[in-house]
Amino acid sequence: MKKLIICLLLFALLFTGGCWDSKEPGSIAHVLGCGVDKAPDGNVILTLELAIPSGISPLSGGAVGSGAGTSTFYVVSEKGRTIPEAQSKISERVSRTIFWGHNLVIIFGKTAAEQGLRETLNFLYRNFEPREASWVLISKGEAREIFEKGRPVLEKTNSQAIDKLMSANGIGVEFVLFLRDMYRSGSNPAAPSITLVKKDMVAGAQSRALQEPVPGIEGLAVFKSDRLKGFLNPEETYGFHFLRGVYTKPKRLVFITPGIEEKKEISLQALRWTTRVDPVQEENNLKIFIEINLLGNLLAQKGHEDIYDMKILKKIEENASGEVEKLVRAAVVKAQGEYGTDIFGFGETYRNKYRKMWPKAGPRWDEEFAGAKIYLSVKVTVRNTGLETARPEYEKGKTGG
Amino acid sequence: MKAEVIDQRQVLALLAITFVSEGLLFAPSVTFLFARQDAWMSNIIALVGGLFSAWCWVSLSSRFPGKTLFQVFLIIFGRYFGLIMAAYYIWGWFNFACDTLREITGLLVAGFMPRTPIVAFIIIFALLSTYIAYNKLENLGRVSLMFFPVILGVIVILFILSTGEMNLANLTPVFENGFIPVFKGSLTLMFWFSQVIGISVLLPFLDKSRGVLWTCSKSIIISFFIFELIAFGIIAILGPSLSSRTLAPILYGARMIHLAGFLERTEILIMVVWIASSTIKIALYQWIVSLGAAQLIGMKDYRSLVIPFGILLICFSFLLHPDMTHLYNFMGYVWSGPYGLGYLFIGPFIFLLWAMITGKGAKS
Repeated sequence: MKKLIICLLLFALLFTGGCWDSKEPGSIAHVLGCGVDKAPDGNVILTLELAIPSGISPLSGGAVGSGAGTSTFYVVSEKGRTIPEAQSKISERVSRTIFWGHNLVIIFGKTAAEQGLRETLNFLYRNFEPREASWVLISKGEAREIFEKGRPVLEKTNSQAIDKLMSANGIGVEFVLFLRDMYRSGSNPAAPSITLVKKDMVAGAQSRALQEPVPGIEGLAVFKSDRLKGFLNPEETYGFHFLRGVYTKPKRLVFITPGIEEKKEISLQALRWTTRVDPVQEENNLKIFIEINLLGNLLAQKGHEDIYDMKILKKIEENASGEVEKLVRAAVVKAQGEYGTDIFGFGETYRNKYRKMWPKAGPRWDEEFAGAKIYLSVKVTVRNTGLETARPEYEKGKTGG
Repeated sequence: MKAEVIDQRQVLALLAITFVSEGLLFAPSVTFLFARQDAWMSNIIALVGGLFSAWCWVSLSSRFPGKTLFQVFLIIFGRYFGLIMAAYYIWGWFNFACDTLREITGLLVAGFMPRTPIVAFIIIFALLSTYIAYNKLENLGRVSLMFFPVILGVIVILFILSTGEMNLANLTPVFENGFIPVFKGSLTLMFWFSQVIGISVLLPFLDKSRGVLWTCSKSIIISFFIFELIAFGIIAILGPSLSSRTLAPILYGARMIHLAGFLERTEILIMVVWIASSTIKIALYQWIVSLGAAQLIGMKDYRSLVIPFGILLICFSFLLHPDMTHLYNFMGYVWSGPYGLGYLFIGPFIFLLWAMITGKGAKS
C-alpha cells in the first residue's frame, strides 16, 4: 500500500509543474492601463501602459521626472481590427507575456467613444484577466496621448496616478457600473473625462516637470447609450454629483456660496447628501420633482459675518441652497437641452413608479426626459464650521471693509 | 452492506453541497436569464418545489426500509422493467457526475488557466473523486461535513464584503414582467433541488431513519438561503443584464470586492469553494453509480466498480459535451427542461403513486 501511495504521489508530480499556465513574475509584462482609440479607417488603436518592474521597485526610488535614467513605464500602441488583434500585434514586440490582471484604468478616446463603445469593450469584460473594477475614463483627445505624454509627479506611472486620483477624489466610475448603465434602460453612463494638464507645477530642483503635463480630471463625459454626446464642465459636473451621489462618492466637493457681505464668499464642503427623485406623469407632460438634502462643512469665510448667530447661519444655508440649485440646474439643462440624455438615472425611478407605461415610454425615455419639467428643492445644512467660531474682531478699524 | 453508517448531519452536508455546488456554477445565470431582477422570487418557488420533491423521495424510500432506490425499483416494477428503470437512473447520476466534472473543469480553464488542456483537470478531479468514493461513504460523509462550513462561510463572507458594491436599484422594478418569467427561472433551481433524490440511496446507510425528511428539508432550506444571497448579491452588483450573460456570475461578484485597497482578489476563494464542492458532489455520484450498478448485477462489493466508473467519467465528460456552449445549453435547457424535471420531479411522484396503488412496501 505504501509503495502504491508513493507511486501515486510521484505520478502526481507530473501535474504539479504547472507548465501550461505558469506565470512567473519575471516573464510577464503587467498592463497598468489601456487606452482604446479609433483610427480614421475604422481600426482600433490599442495603447497599453506596461510597468517596468526594475524602475518601479521601491528600492530604486525616485519619480519619473527626476530623470535618474530608470524609466518606470513604457507605452506601446498598435492598430488592429479588434482589441485582441491589436494586442497580439503588440505582443510581437513586447518581450514578455502581456498580463492584464493588474489593469487599473481603461481610457477611451473621444472619437472611439463618439462612434460607440459597444463593439470594442467586449474583450475587457468577456475575459478573465482584465478587471471589472478598473476605472473608466474618457479622454478629451486621444487616449494614447494621456499615456504617451503624461508625466506623473508623485506616482510612478500614469495609470497609478489616475487610479490614486480617482480614489482620492472619489469620483471614479467602475467599468462594471459603466457597462450596467449602458445596457440598462432608464439610465445612461457617464464617466470622468481625463485630459493632460500643463498648469503651474514645478517638480524637483531641475523643474523638468514644468514643461511636462500630468493627467488630470476635467469635467464629465456624457453618453447616450454607448455613444459619447459631449462633456460637462466642472461646475455642471458638481451638479451631476449632487444628483447622482450613489453612482460615485465624491470626497472633496467644495463649492462657493455668497455670504452676507457683498462679494465675500463662503467656501463650503459637501459632506453627504441624499437625493430623492419623484417623476410625476400628467397627461402629456412629465414633471420631475427633485429633493436634495445636503450636509456641509464650512471651510472658510472671506467676510466677517458672525456665523455663530443662528439667523446669519440660516441665511448662509439659504444662499448655499440656492447655489447648489444653480449647479444642479446647470447640469440638468445641459443634459436635457444640448445632449438630450438622462445620465441621472431618473428613468429608473420612473420605471419603478409607472411600470405599466414603461414599455411605451422606455425606448424613447431620453426624449421624454428632455421634455420634462424639473422642480428642484434643495436644503443645505451646515453641520461643522471648523475650530473657529466667528472670526475675531478686526480691532484696527473697519476702513478696509 | 450495513457496515457503512453515516449520521444525519453528514447527510445534510452531503445533500446541501450537491445543491450549492451548482449554484456556484452555471445555474444562477440561467435563472437570471429568465427571471432577471426577480430571480429571488424564482428561488422561493423552487424552494417549494424542492421540498415537495424531498417529500416524494423520502416517503418512497421509507416504504422500503433498508432498500436503496435501485432495489426499490426492482420491487415495485418487477424484475425486467425495474431493471430498466434502475439502469436509467444510474445513467442519470452518471450523467450528472460527468456534467459537473465538465462544468467545473471548463470554468477553471476558461477563467483561470486558459492554456491548460482541460483533460489535465478532468484526470485530476476524476482521480480525486475515485479515491474518495473508493474509501466508502463514511469518509465521504466526513469530508463533506468538514468542507460544508467552509463553503457556507466563504459565500456568506463574500456577500458581506461585497455589500459596498451593491446597488439596490438593480433589483427594481419588482415583478416587472409578471409571473411567467419568474416561474421559468425557477425551473432550473427546482431541478437542482430535486437532486435530493440522493437521499433515496443514502437512506439505508443512515444510523437512524427518523426525521430524515426534516434533514432533507433543512439542507434544501440552507441551500435556498445561499441561492438567495447569490441572487441578491450578484444582481445588485452587476445588474440583471450583465449577470444573466455571465457564465459563472458568482466569480464576477467576487471580483468586484476591493476593500480599502488591501482586500482584493477574493475570487481565489471562489476557486477553493468550487473545487471542494464539485469534488464532493462528483465523488458522491460516483459512489452512488458504483453502488447501484453493483446492486443491479448482484455483486457483493461495489468497490471494484469505482475505478472503472472513474475511467468512464473521464471519457464521458468529453463525449457528452464537445464544448462549453453545448454544456451550457444542456444544463440550462435540457436538464432544467422536461427531461430533467420529469426525471427527478414528476418521476418520484408517479413512483410513489404506483407503489401506493399496488400496495407494495410497508405503510408508514
